[in-house]
Amino acid sequence: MKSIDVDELKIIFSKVLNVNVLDIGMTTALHTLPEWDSLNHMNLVTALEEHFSIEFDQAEVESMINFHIVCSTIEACLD
Amino acid sequence: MKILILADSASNPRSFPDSEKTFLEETYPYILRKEFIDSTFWQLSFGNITSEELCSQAIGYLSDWDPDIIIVHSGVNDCRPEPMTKSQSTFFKFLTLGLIYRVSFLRDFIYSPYIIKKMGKSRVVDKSFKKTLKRLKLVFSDSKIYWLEIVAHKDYEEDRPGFIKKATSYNKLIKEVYLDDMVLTRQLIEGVDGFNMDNLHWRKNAHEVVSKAIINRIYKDFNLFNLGVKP
Repeated sequence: MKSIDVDELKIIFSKVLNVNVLDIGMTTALHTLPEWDSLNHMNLVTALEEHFSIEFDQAEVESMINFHIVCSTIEACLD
Repeated sequence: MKILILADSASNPRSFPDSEKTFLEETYPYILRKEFIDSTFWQLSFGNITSEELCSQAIGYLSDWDPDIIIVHSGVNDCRPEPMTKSQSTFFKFLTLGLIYRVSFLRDFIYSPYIIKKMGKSRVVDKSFKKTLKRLKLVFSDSKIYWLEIVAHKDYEEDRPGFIKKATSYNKLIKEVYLDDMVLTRQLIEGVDGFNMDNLHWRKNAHEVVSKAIINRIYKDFNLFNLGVKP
């Protein structure tokens, strides 16, 4: 399975959510970061789809509730 | 141990037909609970659910729970040949205000073996199925995941022409991702004539042999024999 550059992903998160990149880590989750609201979640999905040239399914979008799951989902999409 | 079971309808009790009722106490998830009485179990099992939907539920709600073992029994709804894909089905349902599925002769026509043979679309394409297999493994990287073989009676091919070919190809994907953690069940179930008359769901003897196979795998992989635990 291809692994992704976690730092690259953190930068996308920080840009879309408008937070410091140091605030993003493997434990970052929807409930730990106020900026990660439902609207920004969709912005994040769009940004990730564009950046990695992938497409998430609806069930995947709904279950991407933390940074680790987002990483894993992208890795699964990339292979 | 914490054990999570993700499954489709074949893991559930069945109240019909009368001659082939399977009670909850006879299902393999229940037998596993009885065997590993000190373990904590959680089970998500729904009829007609695809692996992507099922695994996404587990990922969204249970990733923090961090189970030691995950048993997945899903894939038949992903691969079996259908007259149309999921999105086509939604489109036609919308276009015909649902009549396509409510009028019995229309439904019977659409789901006739002839149309299924002509169209032969899986609800989930193989690439997406493989993505789900990998995604679950990546998210639950600390868990031991057992994925059960996709099985149905050979006569299911008459209702769903092309099923055997599709199931073989999707089973190969399971093997590719889960290697020896794929649990082979076909021979076990056929050996006890364990398929229900719908050729898809399981009789109680199928639940029994599959539960034994899973229990043995857990005892072996977690070295429980050496801990003095008896199967």
